[in-house]
Amino acid sequence: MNDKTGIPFQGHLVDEFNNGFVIYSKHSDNNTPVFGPDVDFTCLVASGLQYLKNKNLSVFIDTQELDMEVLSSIGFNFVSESEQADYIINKSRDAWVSFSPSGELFEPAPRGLQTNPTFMEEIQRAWENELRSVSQGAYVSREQYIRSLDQRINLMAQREDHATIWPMNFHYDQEQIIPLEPTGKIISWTKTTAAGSPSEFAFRSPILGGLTTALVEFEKGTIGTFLIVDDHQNPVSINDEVELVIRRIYAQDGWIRYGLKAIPLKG
Amino acid sequence: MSSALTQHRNRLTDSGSLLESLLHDREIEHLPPLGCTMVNVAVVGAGQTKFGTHTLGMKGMWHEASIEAIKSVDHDFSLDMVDEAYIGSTAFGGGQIGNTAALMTEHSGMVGVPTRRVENACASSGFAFRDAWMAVKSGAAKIAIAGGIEKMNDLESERKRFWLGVSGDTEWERMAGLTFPATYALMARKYFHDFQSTHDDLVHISVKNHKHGLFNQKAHLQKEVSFEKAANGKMVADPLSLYDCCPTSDGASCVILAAEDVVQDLTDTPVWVNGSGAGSDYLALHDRRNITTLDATQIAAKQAFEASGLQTKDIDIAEVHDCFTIAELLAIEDLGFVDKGEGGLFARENRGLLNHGNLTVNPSGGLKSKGHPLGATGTGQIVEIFNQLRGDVESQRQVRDAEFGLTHNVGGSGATCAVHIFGREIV
Repeated sequence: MNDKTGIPFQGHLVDEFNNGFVIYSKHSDNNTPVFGPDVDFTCLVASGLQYLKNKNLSVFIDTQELDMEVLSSIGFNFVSESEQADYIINKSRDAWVSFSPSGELFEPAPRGLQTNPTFMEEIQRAWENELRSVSQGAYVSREQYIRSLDQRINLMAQREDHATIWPMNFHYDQEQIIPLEPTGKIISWTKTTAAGSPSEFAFRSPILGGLTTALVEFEKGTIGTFLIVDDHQNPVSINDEVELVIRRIYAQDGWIRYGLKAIPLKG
Repeated sequence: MSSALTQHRNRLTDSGSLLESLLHDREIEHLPPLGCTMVNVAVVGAGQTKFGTHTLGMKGMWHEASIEAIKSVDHDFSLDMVDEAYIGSTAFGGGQIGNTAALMTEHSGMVGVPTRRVENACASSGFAFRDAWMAVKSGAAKIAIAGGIEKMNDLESERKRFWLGVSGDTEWERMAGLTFPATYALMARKYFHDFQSTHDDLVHISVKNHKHGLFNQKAHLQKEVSFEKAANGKMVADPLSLYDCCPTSDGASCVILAAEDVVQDLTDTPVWVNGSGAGSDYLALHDRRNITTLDATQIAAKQAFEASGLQTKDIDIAEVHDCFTIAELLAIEDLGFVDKGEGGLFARENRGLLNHGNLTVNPSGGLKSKGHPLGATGTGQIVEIFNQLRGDVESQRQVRDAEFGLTHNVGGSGATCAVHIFGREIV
């Protein structure tokens, strides 16, 4: 192992090896990485793919426990045979994932923030309840969600008359579509209590002590609305710089909606 | 394309975006279309249920509001005189989401009258009123009914929370954890950051509106609230607390509009519709030009004031859409009563308090105290102005010598807005 270990990346940690890397949760239980409150294998694999950067690579992965619609939207070529892959992605039993050409399973160095097991149990139970919940009013169907994935995951925006529009309108041509950089600054924010949160978040909001939502202005001037990641404890402020990362948003009707959440870059 | 339409389109293109054009340049072409004769329109009757938690269902509430409206018409009036009916509702809970209006008119004895539900979230009946006004003004109808209905408190709390979000941007804002309190909280925090204002300014609005609502027999929350209590309310969406938020109410409201040539047969004290305006904006806050200004309000106000020939200084009473206290502060600015950035000072100095200055704001108690049964709120505001201008409200909250009143009804966080100006005389 070389000395590139514990590299912070999108709210996770990365250890680099000569022939690959392992990406893992920054939360741990007795030095074993465990998932944070809004992270699962799909989020870790998505971040690992973005750590690879070169989207021309072909990758192989066992698709169990993963939302392949979300991962495919990132842009890599997923192949069905490991022999055809430039990189083989191996999920561990715990909260880490290895990326290597040979399929080697790396183990991260023991580190991370000791999590509160009771809190994590409550959160996991809340996710299970949320998965079983059924919409009774405002509703985003799976088809509607998938239709917007390129904007939701890759921040694809449109240029129109010197303005950048995100989410996109529907009077654009393909040549005008550009990706936004996943960074920006907060121009306003609110923290909702359980009573002020949408019903989709009703199970988790009380456990998390409320949800923080921010309006984030991108470099190109357009503005988006994003939740702050669930494990960010400190208050945020107007003008704070943030990075946007893939996390679980909420679950309903048996499936999880993923999207971008904001991580404040200071504190 | 006809030359008139080409000319119309070119004018919009020349002046930049449509929104800019509506805000600054565009001359308003008021109805009617070719072949119609414009007539003056008056409100000749108005009624509403008490707003709150009702044992009556939708049918019973609509019946009560419409009967009160009919009884308020001074002379002979019968339902067979009604040409058209426009009923605003979000159909909250989905109990009768289709053909809501037909069910309502059935229960006020108007079977056979052309009717329809008008849906623009919390501005549903403000727009129902505008549609009814257009029908009468254009000569297509002599007498029309506009009203609103919402039954919100029948639902279990979880289902209610689902339905409270259906008028926001479900795909992007709601998935980012936003509810309407949270959306308005984002506006409030940005406003505090950009202007000389603090949460105390919002507390003044809450205290004032509760003070007004105390004497309104139709109000949901008939109670005074101290500054200290309102300043220390339980947080809902930081910085907005419980005392910044309107209650969830049941209710119905109904007004009767008539053309000038039949008005004198119906009443000696009509309330004239001197101006109507309406506008729209992007649904999601993040798409807007500015999050501390409601462009839809500015567009609607510009139209209504131009149509009436009146100025803000002429208005004695304003019933504004204070679903959250910050919404009243922004409305006072966007309607033009004060300059941008001075809404906080207006609230701090209690300038909107009953008979305190030139303008009384929300003498009914507003949505904060009177209540907010979504679809019924817009025409509920008009019921208040009708009764105020005729001197028919409780004496403790009667605005003295009022000549002109304004209503301001907003849909959601500002995607739609209707503004109307009323007077005891035709301007």
